[in-house]
This record gives sequence, C-alpha cells and structure tokens, in this order.
Amino acid sequence: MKTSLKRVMGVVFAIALVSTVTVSGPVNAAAKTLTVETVFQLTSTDPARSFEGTGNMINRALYETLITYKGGDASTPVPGLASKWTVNANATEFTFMLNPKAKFSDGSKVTSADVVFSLNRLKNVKGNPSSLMNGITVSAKDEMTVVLKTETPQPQVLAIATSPSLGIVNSKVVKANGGSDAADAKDTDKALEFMKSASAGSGPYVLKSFNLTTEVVLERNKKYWGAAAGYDQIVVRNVPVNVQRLNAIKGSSSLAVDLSPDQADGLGNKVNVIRGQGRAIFFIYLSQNKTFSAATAFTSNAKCLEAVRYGINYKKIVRYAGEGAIQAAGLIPTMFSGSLGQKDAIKQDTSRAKEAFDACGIKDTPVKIGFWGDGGAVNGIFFASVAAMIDEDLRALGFKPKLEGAPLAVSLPLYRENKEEMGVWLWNPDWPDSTNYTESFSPGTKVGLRAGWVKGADPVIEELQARASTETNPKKRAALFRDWQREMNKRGPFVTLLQPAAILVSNKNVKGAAPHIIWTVNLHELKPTA
Amino acid sequence: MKVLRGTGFFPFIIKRILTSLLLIFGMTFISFCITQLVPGDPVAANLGNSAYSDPEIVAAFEKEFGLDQPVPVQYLRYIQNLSDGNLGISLSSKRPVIDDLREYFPATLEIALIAVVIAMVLGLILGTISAITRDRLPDQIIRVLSLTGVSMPTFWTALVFFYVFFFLLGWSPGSGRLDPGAEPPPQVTGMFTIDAIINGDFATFRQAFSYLLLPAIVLAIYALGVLTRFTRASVLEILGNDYVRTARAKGLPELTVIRRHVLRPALLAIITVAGVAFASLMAGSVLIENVFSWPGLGQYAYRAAVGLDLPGIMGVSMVVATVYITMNLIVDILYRVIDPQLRKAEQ
Repeated sequence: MKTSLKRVMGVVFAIALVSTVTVSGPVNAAAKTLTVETVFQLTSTDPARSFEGTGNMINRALYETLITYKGGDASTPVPGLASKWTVNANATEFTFMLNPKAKFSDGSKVTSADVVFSLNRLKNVKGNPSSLMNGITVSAKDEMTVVLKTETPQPQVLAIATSPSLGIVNSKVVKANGGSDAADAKDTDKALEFMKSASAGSGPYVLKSFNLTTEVVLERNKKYWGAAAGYDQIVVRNVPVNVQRLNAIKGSSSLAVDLSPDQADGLGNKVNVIRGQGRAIFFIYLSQNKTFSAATAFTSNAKCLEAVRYGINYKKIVRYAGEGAIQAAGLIPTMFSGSLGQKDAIKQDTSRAKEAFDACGIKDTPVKIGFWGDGGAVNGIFFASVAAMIDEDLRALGFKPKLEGAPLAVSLPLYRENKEEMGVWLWNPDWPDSTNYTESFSPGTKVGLRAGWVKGADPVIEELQARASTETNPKKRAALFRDWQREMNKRGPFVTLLQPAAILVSNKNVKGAAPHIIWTVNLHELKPTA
Repeated sequence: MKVLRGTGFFPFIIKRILTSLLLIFGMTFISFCITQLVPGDPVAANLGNSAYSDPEIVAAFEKEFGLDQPVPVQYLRYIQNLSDGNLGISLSSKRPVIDDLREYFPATLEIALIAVVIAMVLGLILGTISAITRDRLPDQIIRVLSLTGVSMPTFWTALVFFYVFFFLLGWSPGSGRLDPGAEPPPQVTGMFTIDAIINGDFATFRQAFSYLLLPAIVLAIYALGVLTRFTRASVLEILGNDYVRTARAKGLPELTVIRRHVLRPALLAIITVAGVAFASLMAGSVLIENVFSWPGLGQYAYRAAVGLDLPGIMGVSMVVATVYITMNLIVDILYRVIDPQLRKAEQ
C-alpha cells in the first residue's frame, strides 16, 4: 500500500511537471500558416453537396468557378476558369470560354468536359445545392467552350455560376473515386468520402485534412495556375464565438469571422476590424392563410398588416443589432441591384398603426409568433430578443401576441409548412442576385407560400416579379426590383426589419480581408503583411 | 443453462452480461420512441431553403436515410442493422455512425479518464483529511471547496477556467486537441496521448497532454466535490467503529490505522460512487467540449440533437448506456473482489 501510494503521487507529480513545461509554447509556430476561426457550418468539401457558410468559404479556395467576384463585391463578375463569356439577347444562352492556362492541382488541363461533368453532377446528386441548377442545361461546344442554356430568360445564371457549389472538379479524378454525373447520380455517386479526404480542383489551395468538428487544413496548391497563394497552409478551426474573441485579443488567431458588433469592440491593437453589410434580411411575416386558425382570420387582413408594419419601433431593433446594422428598407439587401435606400424604409407611426389595429378587428384574439428560440442567433442577433421587442411594440397597440420560440429543428418546419400565425425569420441569398428575392417572396413562390400567400393573390406584384426575372437591361432590372419592393412594402405579408453588419476581425499581420455575402471571405485574397 | 443456475462468481458475471444486453436492447427501443416523438422534421433540419422546396431532393434525402419508411419498419431495420454492427448513416456527417463514434468517443474517454483519476486521487486524499480533522480548519476549508465544486455550473466553471488559465495566465494552450494544423498521431486507440506514446512521439504527447489537462480538470471538479464529500462521510462512519478504536488502543501509528483499518473498508463505497461519476463524466461533457472545442462525444451529441440526426442520437445513446451499464458491472465485480463477506456468502 505504501509503495503504490508513492507511485500514484509520483505519477501525479510527473503529470503536473510535464504540463507546466508544455503549456507555455506558442499556439501557432508555423511561419506561413493562416488560422481562421469560425463556428462550423459544414457538412463536407464536396462542392456538389456543400451549401453551408463554412463549406462555401473552404470550397472557394479549393475549387474555381467559371466566373467569380473580387473582394467583397457581389455584383460584377470577373473571370474565373472562364476568361471570357457572352450572354445572348434574351438571357437564355450563356457561353463561357475557358482559360487555356487553367489546370487542376494534378497538373492536368481544365476542359469543357470537366465543367459539364461538375455541373451535371451537382444537378443529379440531388444534394442541398442541386436546385441551383434547376432549369439549366450544360453542354460542351468544343474542348474549351461551355454553354449553359435555360428555357426561359434567366439573367441570374451569371450570379448562380459564381456559387462555390458550381466549383469545377477534375472529372477524371472524381470518376476514378466513385463520382458520377449520370441522371441517377443520387444513387450511384460514391465520391463523397473521397472529396472529404482530398480535393480535385484547380483552386489556389488543396485539401490536406478534413474533420467535421475540429478543423479543415488546406495546403498551398503548388501547381496553381493563377496568382500564388499567400500562405503555405490555412487551418480553418471550429471555435466558439467567445473563444474567437479571446484569441483575437491575444493575437493567437489570424482571422475571426463570427463576432457581433458588440463583440468586435475593444479588441485591442493587435487586430483590424473590417465591417461590411451582412447578407441576411430579418423580417416578420403574417400568415395569409385565413382558415389556419382564429388569429390568421385577422393576420390575413390588410389592416392588421398595416398595424404591424407601422407599429414596430425599427430604430430600437437596429440599435440592438449594433454598429453597422441598418433598417432593411426592403427585402433586397443593399449590395444587390435595385435595393431600396433608407428614404424608402417604413417609419414607425403609432397613431396610424393604432387606427389600423382598431379597424382590423383582431381585438383580444391571441396571435402566436414563431421563431428560432433555443439561443438561435445570426451575426450576434438573437431571434428571441428581436421577437421580444416586436412583442412589446404589438402589445402597445393592443395585440395579444404569444411568443413561441423553439429549437430550429422544430420551428423551421412549422415556418416552412405555413403552420405559424406570425413568425420572425431571416433570408440568406442562395445566389447573389436580386431575382433570388423576387423568385422567393412573391405570391406562390416558396417563402410566399410559407406565409400562405398563394399565386394570384397580388397580380401587380406577380407581374413585376415576372418582368424582373426576364429583364436583361441592368437599369430596367434595377427599376423593376425597386418597384417590386415598394409594392411589397405596401401590401406584402412580409415586414422587413433589419440588415445586420458583417464583421471580420483580422490580425494585423494579415491583409486583404473583405466580408463576402456568399463565401464570408475569399481565403485566396488573404496575404501576410510582411 | 447449468452455469446460469449457479451462485458463484462466473454465473454472476454471465447473468449480469446477459441482463446488460437486454438493457441495451430496451434502451434502443426507448431512445427510438423518444426521438420519434420529438416534434421536429429531420428533413427540414438538414436541407436548405431551396432544397427543401424541391420535392425531388426531399425524396432523395428521405430515401437515402430510410425516412420514407413507416416508423416500425425503420426500427426493425435499425435492429437488424445493429446485429451486424451497423448503427446507420449519420444525417449530418453522411458517414456511418460507427465511424463517427470511433472518432469522437476516444476524445471524450481521454478527458474522462484523466478527470476520474484526478477526482479519485484528490477526492480520496481530501475526503480523508477532512474526516480526520473533523470540524477543524482543514475540514472546514475542504468542505467549503467540495461544496463549491458540486454547486458550480459546469459551463460557468469551464468559461472561467478558460479565461483565467488560457487568456489571463497563458498556462493553457487554448481550445482543441492539438496546435492548429498539427498532425495527430497514427490512430490506435484514438486517444492522442496514448497513441503518441505508442508511436514514440513524445513531442506530440506533451502537446496533446497540455491541451487536455484544463478540460479534464474542469470535468473533474464536480466529481471531485462528490467524491470528497462521500469519502469524508464513509471515513467518519468507519472511524467510529470498535475495531478502529482497538487498533488505536494497540498503539498502531495513526497513518497505519487510517490506511489499513479505515481506507480499505471505505474504498468499497467510494468505488461505487467513482463508477457512477465516471459514467456521468462521459455523458456530461457536452458543455465543456463546446467551450474547449474538444471534438468528443458531447459535441457530436449536440450536433446530432440540433440537426435531428436520429441515427447519430441513437448512436450516442447506445454508447452512453453501454458505458453506464459497463461501469455498473465493473463496480459489482469489484465489490465481490474487495468485499470478503460477499465472497463468503456466495461460497
């Protein structure tokens, strides 16, 4: 007993000694390693299946698209794998000429066959981003020319082509590892595991290792055909937001991407805080399904809508969202064509709202407000807090709201299946173009239907939607988007609340960070300052 | 069957193992029913806005994960696959749950083992000191500390420790299991410290150990509080026995009395608590793993729960239930090994 006790004490002492010696080392010893910290939204690095924030950021560095955007811009496409492109007059045919210098990380040339394979694979695996290819067919005109065709005019195809999900893979490598672009690829494509262990793209970085919960490590693509990557290695780590903040202050991370405006204050002198406009639009909606419940008989009433629209204290909500956030004047965010200026934003008018409330007849009928309630937050803005502010404003008018927050897996289906009376939600664009909003929020479209707003409910708005989706003249398009939003602000069931700020916190030894609405930040544009 | 009717040590073990298997089977049924009762939709939780609006993508998703089948069929398939060692495919990672568990379980096991060692060694020492200095200053201090240990919420302790030891003092290297981008050792057990030693890579061992120490200490705090209080109570009870008084009257040194006549019988009860504490450490690491970005079972469970990843949830439930059942089995076996009265009764 005596000996064993001594042994135990010896082991404890040794452990303490070893730990004291080892814990003081530098966190990141490699000279040219970039450490990016984020809360993972990640399923894989297979471009045909990945459609989440972190996945987009990583895939943007691994796989190149035909065209892309520079810096934080999301409106003017620049060459990617295609050096030139043309669009026919009615926006149904998009021809891309591939850059002959473009090559994959194994040194082989990027050809039209690779593009056709990649886009058909995306379409046919029926993964999360597959719907981006709805209505689009792809064909090879020759070895270096690709044509994308649509049946109806779709000017947004250029914006869709920039999505990292449309990243071009090395077809030979992916096929050799079980990949398929056939019509039955949803059953026959077996390349997912391979795509999580290695990359097969032409981007400035290649995949070194992938772990769904800890980190994804990228290495410099030594055969990259474009401007050289800034770092030998990029480590994208899954780190809680509070720890991101501490690491940023300590200077032990290169880039933190999830801090809210409040968290980005007082970070000290080791970092640069880059503020941009967030991509999300927070909104509240009122169900137009008259027969769903006692409350929706009233929420579908134009006067009820008016009461809510003019009863909300928007300034308070924007203040809560922190520096850089703005009131959403319409559904289309500021970075897109046809977004509305602040002069178009709805101003709180409590007397008008009270009059409308009296006229709508809802009186004491309780109305449930659904939202993502288990601490759900985006850009540091908690849905529960926004819902509480709305609750307060509606109560002041005479409404009897009942907040019904729930975990996302519970609340999201209720919203998507039009089983809420009112709801506080947000919209992130699937592709960076204003059509994403006209095609999603008009009567009879997906979010429109979530609000019980069926096709034919508002012919004026529907006509504007139809015209905007086919208009190819940029100025006329922008005007149509503005008109569509103004009409939506008058009669639509959606009351837009705010557009948050997007914040990147980069260590001072990193330059080139610019927030982007689709891929958060372009890792290729990040370079060491020295 | 003859073996099962016996009353000896081996029939006891065989009976316990069979009961454990039945328990695990019952647990799968209960877990499956509960996950089905959750008012959520795994399809909505796992598909994006556009994909969810595309019936073809929804159908492909449901088919891929067997969600297009009636619930009883889903359960029968689950059991059928389970008998082949197949726990299904995770909805979030899109790979076999068994592979996920193979990756995440050892990470949690690693901190839980260190935590239980810390809790047991210190708990035994502090509990004994507290008992033999009853109502004096050391006892008062230890009682306050152990009460604090059991009262502090784990997430709060984790945040405070991380802030103090990583941010303010710089003694801890931070979150994760290794430095960013560092190569983990070749997998044998999945526990980086052990694998590094097996591989003879002491630099990686030191790094892995420095990362796991702080989360392990935080994880140990609650169990340490419980074990200290329990040891104190057990030792106090035994100190009042006649045979302890006799040993003292015989002139044995106090340390020998404590070691031979007090701690040994007290150990029996302490082992029971330690077993349950270890199992609860395994199950209760969710918040700590989140704060320290520790890629263990807790993080996996959280991810599975948030994404309504039913196979993932079932897999975690299976592991946690198996750990509890195994720990109880080990404790029962140890009881028989340590307690001569039980052995005698069996004979």
